[in-house]
Amino acid sequence: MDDDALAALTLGEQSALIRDRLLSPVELTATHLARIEALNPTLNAYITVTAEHAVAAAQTAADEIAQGLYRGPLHGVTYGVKDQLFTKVAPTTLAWHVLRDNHVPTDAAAVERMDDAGAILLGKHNLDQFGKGGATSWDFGEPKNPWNLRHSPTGSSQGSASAVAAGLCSAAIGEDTGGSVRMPAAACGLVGLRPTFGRVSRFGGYLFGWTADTIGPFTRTVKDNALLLEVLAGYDPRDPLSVNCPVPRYTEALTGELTGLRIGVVTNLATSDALRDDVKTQFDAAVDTLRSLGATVVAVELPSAAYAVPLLMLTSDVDVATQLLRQYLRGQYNEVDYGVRTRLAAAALMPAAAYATAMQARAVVRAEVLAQFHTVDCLVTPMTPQPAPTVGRKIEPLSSPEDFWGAVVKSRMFAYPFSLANTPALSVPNGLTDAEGLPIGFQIIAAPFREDLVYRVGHAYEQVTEWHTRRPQTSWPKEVNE
Amino acid sequence: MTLSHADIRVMARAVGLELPDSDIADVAARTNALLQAVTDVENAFGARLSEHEPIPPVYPTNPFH
Repeated sequence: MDDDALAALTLGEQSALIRDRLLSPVELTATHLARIEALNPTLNAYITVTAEHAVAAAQTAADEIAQGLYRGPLHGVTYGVKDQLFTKVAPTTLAWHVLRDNHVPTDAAAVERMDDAGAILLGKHNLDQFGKGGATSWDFGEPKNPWNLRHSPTGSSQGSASAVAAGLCSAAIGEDTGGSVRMPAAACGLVGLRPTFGRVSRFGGYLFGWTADTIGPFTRTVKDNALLLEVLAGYDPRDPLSVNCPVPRYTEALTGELTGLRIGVVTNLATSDALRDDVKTQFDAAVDTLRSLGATVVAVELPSAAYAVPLLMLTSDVDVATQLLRQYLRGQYNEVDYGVRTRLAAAALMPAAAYATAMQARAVVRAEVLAQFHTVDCLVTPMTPQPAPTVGRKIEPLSSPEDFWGAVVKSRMFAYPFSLANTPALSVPNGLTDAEGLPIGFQIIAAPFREDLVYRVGHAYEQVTEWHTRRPQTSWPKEVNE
Repeated sequence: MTLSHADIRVMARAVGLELPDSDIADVAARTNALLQAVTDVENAFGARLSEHEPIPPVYPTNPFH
């Protein structure tokens, strides 16, 4: 099998070859490292590549498997991690040049778990500076979408999505506050999960949005995603908001059928005027597919969905700004990206009464979302109203309240309600745009700790569609690279 | 009420931030937009707001698991 064909396989397919000793982790790692060397100068998906560590870890994995010490389905496959999570073997930069040499002597819990499962870390993935969407400059190069280099992979886990889509690793670990896993997954034709807050330990990273930050996997298929969550999920006393409840075998939920499930289409999102026509058409087709698989589809409304955007933006940004004000903003304000620093500065000025009101209002939106799960098993929405934006974007327009309720809210109101509600939400590919050939996705949401249900629905959808099998071609014409 | 650029400068000073002139207009626009959004939410939610405590989104006695 040539390198392109090997890199085009899903994690599960690569894993099966390794398990059956038809593929060595050394060969897979070498393939991914060679692709990183060839494609990363164009994609800017990785900030740091841990090649020496990866080669040694791959040899260790190969030796263990040869001795019959097979650890499980992640043994010998590769991954990268958003450069917001700590790794002993590489600096954690937050995509900020000031932290270029920021070595932290610990691994994030997610990295520990991946390493214990035998997965091989290839490096740290690029992101919007500080993990805040809206960066306008890129200290380590602007990430590109491998489906169309004129477009962004979408923030903030930009590099993670770009890397998995381009076959620069088997899977990736990102961070999702307001859609930072789900939206780039949709933009790059991947499956991306925001797990229930408390399901995956937040220990070991710059996760200052302490009431909303979650760690979730990027993969090519739902089954691969479930395999990763089985490894990543679990109680960790080092995270004070980690929840001590059993971790199901998520892969056992992948039955391929939906008979008996009630699925609610969030109609005020599904019919929003923010949706581009081709996104709406593909979403409607996905709903028809779920119905054809035996699900009962009903209409539901989330009237407060749009309010989730300012509420999460305000509270999460205040949390982050409070930490960064002490740590960096007062002393190194001008070193921070313009879009990020003005956003954080505004958050730092919020009156306490506004913050407390927003936290109360978050609970109102949360109650509205959770109430749905008394009558339906899952909700579905489009993931984003438009395909991935173009690269080289400038700061979001905010010269009037209309700008805020227009551009800012409409681009985020599909993701934010479920961040506020603390529900698991899965983005699954469901089409390509007509004009740009860019992937789009739809979102499946379930009650807290019911990741099994979002996986069941997403997997059943995959069994009768082929969007998840599409790959971007990565031999771009020379003029596109320039 | 809309905060002026001068208001923003004073508020920033209160938290130890000296904002450069180039940033004032954008910080003011963002601050005013967020404060207006909170007012909009207060008006939309009305009495419902007072029925909810501002606790983080965790479920210590979670009915879902």
